[in-house]
Amino acid sequence: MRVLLAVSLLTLALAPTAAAQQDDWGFDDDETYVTNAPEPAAPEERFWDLSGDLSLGTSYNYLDHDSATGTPYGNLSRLRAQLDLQLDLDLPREWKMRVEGYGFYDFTYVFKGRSQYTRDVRDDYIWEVDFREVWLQGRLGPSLDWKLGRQIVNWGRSDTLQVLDVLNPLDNREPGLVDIDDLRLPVTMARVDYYPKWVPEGWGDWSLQLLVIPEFRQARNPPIGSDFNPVPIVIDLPSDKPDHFFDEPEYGGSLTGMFSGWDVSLYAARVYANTPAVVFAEGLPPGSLRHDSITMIGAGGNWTVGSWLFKGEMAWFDGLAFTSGSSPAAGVVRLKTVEKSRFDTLVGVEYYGINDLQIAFEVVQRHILNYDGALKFEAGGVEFADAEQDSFEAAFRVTADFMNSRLQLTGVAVVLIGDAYQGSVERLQANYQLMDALNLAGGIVLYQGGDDPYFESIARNDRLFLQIDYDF
Amino acid sequence: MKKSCLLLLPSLVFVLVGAVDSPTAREVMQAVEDRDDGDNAVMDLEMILIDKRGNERIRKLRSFAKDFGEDDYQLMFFLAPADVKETGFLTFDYDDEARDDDQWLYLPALKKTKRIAAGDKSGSFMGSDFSYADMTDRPVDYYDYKILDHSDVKGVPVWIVEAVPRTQEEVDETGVTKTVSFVRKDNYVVIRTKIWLKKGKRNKYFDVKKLEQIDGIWVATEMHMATKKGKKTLHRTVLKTSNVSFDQDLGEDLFSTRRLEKGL
Repeated sequence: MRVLLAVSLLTLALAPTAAAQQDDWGFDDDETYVTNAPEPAAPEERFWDLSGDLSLGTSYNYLDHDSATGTPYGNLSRLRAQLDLQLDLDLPREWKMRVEGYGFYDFTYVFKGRSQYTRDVRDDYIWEVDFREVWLQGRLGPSLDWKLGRQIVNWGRSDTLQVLDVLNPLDNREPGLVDIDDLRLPVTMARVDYYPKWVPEGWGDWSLQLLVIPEFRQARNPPIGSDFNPVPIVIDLPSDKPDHFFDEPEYGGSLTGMFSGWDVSLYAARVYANTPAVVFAEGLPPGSLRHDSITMIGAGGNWTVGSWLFKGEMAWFDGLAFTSGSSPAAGVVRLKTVEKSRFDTLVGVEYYGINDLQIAFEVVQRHILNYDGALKFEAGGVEFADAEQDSFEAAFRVTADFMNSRLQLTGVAVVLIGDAYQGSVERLQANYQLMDALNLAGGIVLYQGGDDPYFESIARNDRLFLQIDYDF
Repeated sequence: MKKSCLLLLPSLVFVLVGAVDSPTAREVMQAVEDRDDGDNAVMDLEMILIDKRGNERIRKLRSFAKDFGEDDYQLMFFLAPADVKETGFLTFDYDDEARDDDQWLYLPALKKTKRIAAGDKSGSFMGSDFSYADMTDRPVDYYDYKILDHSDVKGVPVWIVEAVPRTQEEVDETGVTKTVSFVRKDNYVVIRTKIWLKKGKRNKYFDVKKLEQIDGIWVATEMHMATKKGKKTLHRTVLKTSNVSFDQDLGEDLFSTRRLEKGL
């Protein structure tokens, strides 16, 4: 025992700064390094787990600009403290339950004064407390899983662009800046997944998923008065938003086959548009906001070859509302809402062949079927286009790890192209792990204007951001 | 049986060493290869990443591994730190070299399972000094061997075996130009390896600090891997295994994207 104690004391005295004694091959002597970490212990068996994240994030707009309603948006635009909590329970019969919620408060509005912001902005950005995922899941036999409650189901193969990812609305309140954890808004779903055991070996692993979505939830878009909303005045229009559970639920289903080196999925869904269309009767003014009932049938897949991952998504959408215009007389424009179908195709590639570096490129084409020339019209000498027949979005992402993954640099660019360059968003970000579970992130977001009036309206919204996160 | 990735890390060094040219070396390495390492294993892993200033970061995982014929399946869940908790990694490591490994990552932030391509195996595993090549099988025929010496480590007799990749392609894929391994004569466990890296005139030093017999199987319960340039240590990883159990009832269902998404 005395010998052990002496060795321990010697070890503590030497570690970790002592010069290592090395043998002929360069190996350190045994006792030249000890860590501060405690010895691994047997896992604590408990049926609950509470985790969370405490963060403070800020954005600084270095270009002075005003919102469409006249609010100045230069300098500090966000100083948000946020707490996220997640409670997981392991229940009998292998059931699990999760309750996840968050709350934030933005001190910007204290420092800059609330009165200069519109009511909608104050409602959306100053403070918020809400649930995220709240669900119960379990098994019905060896081949059947179920999950009930507010949840996120991401069908997309793409990490940046959306084709098949239609089930959960997005939080777009700060485009290009919303943390990926918070981007999708969970909705209440009843979900079952079936994993057949009778498929012969060599025919892949198959799963069938069926969903009923009784809760309708709108996307969170920038409210009027935000520097991301180009509308200068508040127009209250009646909306057909379904308010009640099970009034007219959404449905979805998928069939997925997993094989060695590749996988394929088929999808079908009937969902509401998460962002309403303005419905025009003949003439002006607009009549109401309508959430279109959209039918989607699609497919997606992945294929790996060496260090390359190829991915694809395609989907046919029916029931999309567009605005068309005609000019039966000089100076008079008749607007009306028409329904169209659209076919979206996405292809992407990711490369993993370089040390600690990942590169991804994706492009999507959105093609409106039976395109009507009236979707482009002229009024007062200005050409309006609700949609081009073909529009393209391209996303390029590079992620590189340094310092044994203590530092991660990410660059993302998303470009929109119609008949011409429409606009783009670029983000450069650095994440640095200060210590375990304490992370610092900072970077810049650039918004580039183009032919698209929306991108042109946010072209001066560039900002620097910084956030510190403590996870527990 | 075939050596699986995290099942018994000392074996990774053997795998780096590959085939033998002299009958004596081949007999030694065949004995290492034939050593019982269990058909399946469950264990907790703790990786302590230590930078040159002595700052430590800790990664904790739970690993499930099983041999399906000559193929190795492994499922890992991150337990800590909290910001990567619930992240899962599923890999099918096929014995057939013509067949790419299948790998999936469950990303809790995206709420989806993402298929990933088998990347450059010289890359760091989770920011540690272990590379993916260290963690997976390498084809034994891709290396030339020779026994350099007979010696002892901590009083235990060892063979000192050098291995050199036969092709530039193997060098490029693993980032390793040469290894010298120390194989214990009493139990055929590789307890030390010096690795010459292609990049930056660096060496890695793998050193088993604790070796235990669990259920009759030799398991390294503490390993160090240090990356050095000359005599200067650039980074070090301490890898500890605990709660190790073999021959569990691990069904094929466990190694599935279904389980990856459901978590522990």
